[in-house]
This record gives sequence, C-alpha cells and structure tokens, in this order.
Amino acid sequence: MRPFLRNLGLAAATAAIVLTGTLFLPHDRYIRWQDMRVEAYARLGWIYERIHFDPTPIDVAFIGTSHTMNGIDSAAVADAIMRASPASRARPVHVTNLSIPAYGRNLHWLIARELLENRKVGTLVLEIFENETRKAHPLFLYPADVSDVLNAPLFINLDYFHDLVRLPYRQLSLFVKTLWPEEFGLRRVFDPAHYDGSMVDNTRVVQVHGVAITPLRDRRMDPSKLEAYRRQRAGEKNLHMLGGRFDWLEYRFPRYYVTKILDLAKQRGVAVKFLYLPAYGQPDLPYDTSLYAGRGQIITANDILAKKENWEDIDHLNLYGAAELSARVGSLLASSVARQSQTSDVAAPQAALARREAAQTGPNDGTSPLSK
Amino acid sequence: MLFNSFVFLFGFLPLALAGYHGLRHLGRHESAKVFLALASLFFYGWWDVRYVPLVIISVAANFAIGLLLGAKGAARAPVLALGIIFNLGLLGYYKYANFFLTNVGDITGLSLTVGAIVLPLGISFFTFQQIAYLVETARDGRCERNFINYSLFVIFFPHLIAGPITHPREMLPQFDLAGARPIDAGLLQVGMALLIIGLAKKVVLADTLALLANPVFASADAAATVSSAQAWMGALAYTFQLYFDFSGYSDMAIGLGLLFGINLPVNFASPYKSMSIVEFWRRWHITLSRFLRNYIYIPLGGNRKGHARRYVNLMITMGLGGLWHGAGWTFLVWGLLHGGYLVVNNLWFRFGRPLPTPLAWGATFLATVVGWVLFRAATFSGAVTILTAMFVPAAPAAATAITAPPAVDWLTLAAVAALSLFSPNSIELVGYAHSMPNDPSDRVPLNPVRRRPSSAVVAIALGVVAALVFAKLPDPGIFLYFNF
Repeated sequence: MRPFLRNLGLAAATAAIVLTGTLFLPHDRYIRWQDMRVEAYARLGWIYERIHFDPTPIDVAFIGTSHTMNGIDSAAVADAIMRASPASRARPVHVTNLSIPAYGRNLHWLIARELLENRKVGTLVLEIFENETRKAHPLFLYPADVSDVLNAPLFINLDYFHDLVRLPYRQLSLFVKTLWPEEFGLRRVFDPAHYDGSMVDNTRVVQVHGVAITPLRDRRMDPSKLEAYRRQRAGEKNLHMLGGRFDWLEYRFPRYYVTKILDLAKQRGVAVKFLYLPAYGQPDLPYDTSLYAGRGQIITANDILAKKENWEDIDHLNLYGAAELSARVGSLLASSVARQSQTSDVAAPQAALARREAAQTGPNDGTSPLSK
Repeated sequence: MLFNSFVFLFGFLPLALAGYHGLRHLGRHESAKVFLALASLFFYGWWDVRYVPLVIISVAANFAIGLLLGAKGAARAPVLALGIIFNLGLLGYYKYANFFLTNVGDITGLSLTVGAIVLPLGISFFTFQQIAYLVETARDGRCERNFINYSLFVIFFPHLIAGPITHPREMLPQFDLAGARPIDAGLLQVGMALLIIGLAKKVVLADTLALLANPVFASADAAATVSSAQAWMGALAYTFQLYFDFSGYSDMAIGLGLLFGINLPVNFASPYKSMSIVEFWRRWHITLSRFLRNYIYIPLGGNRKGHARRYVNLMITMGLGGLWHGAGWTFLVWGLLHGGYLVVNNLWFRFGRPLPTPLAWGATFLATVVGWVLFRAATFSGAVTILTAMFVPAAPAAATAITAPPAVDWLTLAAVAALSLFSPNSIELVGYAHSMPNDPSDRVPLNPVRRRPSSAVVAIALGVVAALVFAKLPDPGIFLYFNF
C-alpha cells in the first residue's frame, strides 16, 4: 500500500505544481479582453480598444450595467452637454459608455482601473441601483489579472472559488491564443477596420462589431405587466439577508470595489458622479447612500423613470426612455464638464475637486441634496 | 452526479471510499456492501430523487423473479417471459412510448401522447443487465439469493449510468466476496490511473472536440448550408468525440470499480484500428455487442440456420441495437446501416479476396464515420445535408460564402486521430487486460505495454494529465451515452 500512497502523493504534487505554474504563463492583455465573445459581453473588447487605441478624448465616461448600456446614448449626452453649456462649445465633448450587462462591482473596478490608469478622464459616471449588489460579476474572470482573482475579497464573495478553479484553464487558453490569435478569431494588433468607433450607441439596438444582436428597442412594456413585476420584486426584496446588524459583512464585497474605484478616481483627480438608474418602480434614492456621500453627486431622473411608456422591460428603458434620459443626464453634467474644459489639468488637486463638488447646484437640477 | 465534477471527485468519491474501506477494515464486510449499495442509490438520486423508487422497484422485482426462476420445479419459461415483459415494459414506457404513439398518430392522423416523460438515467443499461440475469438464471437455475449482492450487480454506481453492461456470472461472485477480501494495491494504482486517463479523454479531448462538431450539426439540422470542409470537420470531430467520451467514461467506470476491488469488463479496444466492421463491433462497446450477440442474435438462430437467415438475423440484431440507443428513426437507420455493413462484410469474407490493409482500414473507418453522421444528427435532413456536403463538393459560388475551419481545428483532429490510431489504448497502457481473464475483450488483440518507465515517472505523467483535467473540470460537458 505504501508505494501506492507514495505515487498518489507524487501525482498530486505534480498536478499542484502544474496548476500553479499555469498562473505564470504569459499572455497578451488585448487578447484577454477580446476573448469574451458572447452576445453583448463581447463589448469588453471594444472597451479595451476605446481606452488603449482610440486617441479621441474621454471627457465623460459611464460605467454600469445593461441599464446604462441601454439607457445612455453617448452622442445624445454629448449634444445635451454642449447645448446646455456655452462654455463647452469651444471644443467637442466626448462621452463614452463603457457599460456591460450584469451587475457586479468587481468588473466595474477592472474597467475603471483600465480607464483611469491609462487615460485622462474628465468625469466618471458610475451607475448605482437602490442597493449595491452582493454578487460578483459573472465576467470578472475574463478580463481580470491573475492577482485580481487571487486577491479578491473572500467575504462574502460567492464567486471566489468559482473564479479560482477556472483560472488555470483560462491561463492555458490565453497562452495558446496569444501564440496564434488568428486561429481563434482574435487580433494581435489593433485594426481600425474592425473598430466600432468612439461612441457606440446601444440604446436603439445592442450591437457588437456593427452587427445588431437585438431588434429595435422600441417596444413599450404592457403597463399592467410592468406594475405586476414591480409588485413581485418589491415582495421578494430582502435588503438584509444576514440581518441589519451584519450589513457591513453582507455589503462588504461591493463596498470594497466601489471604494477602490472612488479612491483611484480621487487619486487621479477625476470627478465622480453617481447615476441612479434602477429598475422600474424603485425608490427615489438608494436605501443606503453612505457609500456615496461626499464622493460625488447622485444624478437622478426619477420623473423619466416613473413613466411606464419609457420601459422596454422591467429593467431596461426603451429607446424613447433612453433618449429622454440621455438628454437629461447631459444637461445635468453640463456645468461639471464646462468647468473641466476651463481647467487645463484634469488631474486637478483633490482640494479643487472637493470645491467643485461642493459648488454643485441645488435640488431642482435633478441632483440629490444628499450629495452635498 | 457526473464523474467529471468536483462534487463527485472531491465529495462523493472520497466519502464512499472512506466509508466502504473503513467498514471493510473493521471486518464488517456485509455492512460495507450495504453502505456501497446505499451510496450508489444516493449517487443515482443526486440526478433526480424521484426515480430512485423506480430503480428500487426494478431491482426488487427482478430479484424476486430470479428467486422464482431458481426455485426447484419452477415453470421457468412463463416466469422468464413475465420478467422480460416487465423489464421491456418499463423500458418501452419510459423510452419508446412517445416515439411509438407519435408515429402511430402520424399514420392514423390521431393525436396520441402520454405526455412528457423524462427518461430515467441509465434505464437502458440496467434493464439489459437484468434481462441478462433472468435469462442466465432461467438457463441454469442459479439465482442470486443475497439481495445486496444482486442490488450491487445492478446499481453499483461506477457502471450504473452508462455501463459497461455487466454479465451476472462475472459480477455476482465478485460482489459476494466484496468487502471480505484484501484489495491489491497494484489494482488500486491501475484504477487510479484509469480514472485519470478516462477523465482526460472526456474532459480534455471529447469536450474540446464537441466544440468542433456541435456547430456543424446544429447548422445542418437548422437547414443551413454546410461546406464540404465543415461537413468533414463535423463528422470526423464527432467520430473522435464519441470515442473519447464513451471510452473515457468506460475507463473511469473500470478505474472506479478497481478502487472498490471490483473488476468491470473492458468496453473499448481501439475500435478505429479495425480492419473490418466485424472487427469494429468486437472493439466498440464490447459489452453491448456481447449482449446483442448472446441475447438476440444467437436466440434468433445466429449463423446456425444458413447464410440467408444469418444475414436477416444480423439486420434484426443491429436494428434493435440501433433502437436501444434512442427512440428515433435516425438510430434505427444507423443500426440497420451497420447491419448492412456486417452483411456486406460477411459476404466479402465468403466471396471476396482480402483487401490490402490500408484499403481495409480506410473502408471500415469511412463506413463508421458515415454511420456516426446518422447517429449524431437530430434530423434526417441534417444528416443528409452533411453526408451530401462530404461527398458532393458544393458549387464554387456557394462554397466561397462559407468559412473554412481554421488550421488549428484540423491540427486538433490530426492529433486525436493519431492518438486513437497509433498509440496504445488506456487498457493496454495500464495493463488492465491481464487482470481480467475471460472478459468479452478476449476476442480482440489487446497488447499491454511491456516496456514501462519507473512508477515515479508514471506518477508524474499522470499528475500532469490530472492537472489538465482539473483545469478543464469546472465546466463539465454531459456524457453522450447518458442520453441512451
């Protein structure tokens, strides 16, 4: 029996060494971000291209879920900013929407880090819901560095081991794909001919590489169904699964990543706004705003969200709602963008940033008094 | 519960091994067997607990019928008929009722259905095993009188879901002694090696090949155009996918059996090395071939009633073998096609001259690939689309619109083809055939590898293979033969 156990131990040790070794396999980051090619998630590749290969400035960047992807038309926001603020007309305003479907703050952190560490950004608009999600983003593993996966918080991270066990295969796969990207339909170098452009609009149709993957988003959801869904969700809502005393633990995971985003933005001198864009029928403000207080304005457009005819489904605005929201959000961002255009250095000192935040306008402009 | 899942490999299996061997070491071998039977039921119930009573009823009923057959002075023929009707009745209801009624409805214009029926996992396998048991008991009157031994013969979890289809005379004596005899550490090593190799065949090879085959068959079944290159890619990828998938499962089953001290029969012996279809069926799903031969072909008369009757018997046997795989016309036609192949093969043996080796291998392999297209396609039109594209090149205008498979796909195919055609199979690699005399694979040439590296080198190599398996394990694919 002893030789059997010795050989079993040897095989197990070898397997452990090989699996650990895969974590050190090199690969191309551009290949990694391109590699997710399923439906709208394929927009991850575009996000990387927009940040790294497209020199068009980024005055305003949105990061969020499908709510923002389907609800914010970058071009319409830019138009509204320029119309609302004469100061902004001196040069074009460039707005980009880096949102990806599904809610998970760890992916938002990866996108924000990629953006803020590589580009000068005027304003970062981070989508918020009525409450932070406890879930990790299902796509986190795809664009994450190995260290992001290993160092992710364990509590309460339901996807930690899910991501960890998939890391060796991802590393092997990316290693091979980096060697022969063309064989897997990937590109080693950026090709402008395959680039979707600086401002991709997903409010009318969701598109990937210029191909629509949804029908025209002009459907208006049956108001009675919309209301029924709202009631159902309200009945299912549980904000304190662990009991209110343990909110610090229950929401530790999203708070960890939102804080990292806000800290990095602060370090880079980037103004942050929070776009409150929940599903239909949610309260006028998040239940708990302590995470955002003092870190940036909460932009709301609750009157637009309250119109039943603006919803394609319970979660997503249709193109009519998106058009209204984009115009509103543009006008609300105008003063901030105007100030940035007057400031030569977007990486302004933190004190100046704080002064700008404090000088934001009052309750009638759609911003929350809580942010002041 | 899939063999290739974390919950099985790191949860169920260690607990089952610890419980069984723990009781065995304490000298409580009957308790060890009861534990193993209960663990097997738990394994089955993990899939759908509602079907556990069905398995228990089936096992209990067949055990009781076996006792009746073994009783002195019993009228064996009617009892056997009752037993076979009971087993085929269950199989017929769960597997063929809707197929039958749908076709009757198509002919008569009536709307006949018994509603949606979920096929109980492994029903085709445990039904055949129990029919074999009843037939053998009716022949010699030797019934199993220990319910736990009989239960393990049917529900022993390594072979419960997808075989090998075991024979009562080779298994019941083993289960009688299970838990009582010491386990050879050498066989444990062979078992562990087969488990790792089987996992690799399934997780690393078959699941990768599925990515090449599935889109082609999906396109063909959806009436889309398929280019000649795509059709060959789909057909060949599925040919090797099915082999690595099913033989991988069989390797795992044998390996798991050995970890509990049980020898299961060899089920695959490098089938794609065959030089004739007759040889193919001696190498492919060997335990099914044995069942079909022993319980359908030979009772029909086999080759004892003249050549013409022999060929009819072959067609009937293979047609039923096709239907055993699934309730669908494509399976029936696949079975009949192989029946036809066997008839032609036997006629050639009688009247023709032996073909040169490359030609014999090529014709056999090609015939097999054509058969697998029918086997895999969900619709006849899908199968015809692929077969047409394989053998009738598309017009240039149509062909240019279709993307050719990338070189990496062809390289993958070449690698798996080389593996299945030129390397020793897993049974030969671990030398398992030596430990299982008189099993059904004794009719095929298995040549255990004689020159072996040191056990440390083998352990390291298996460790590397295990690492690849664990890397790919988190997203397991379903075993193809679970569908049958």
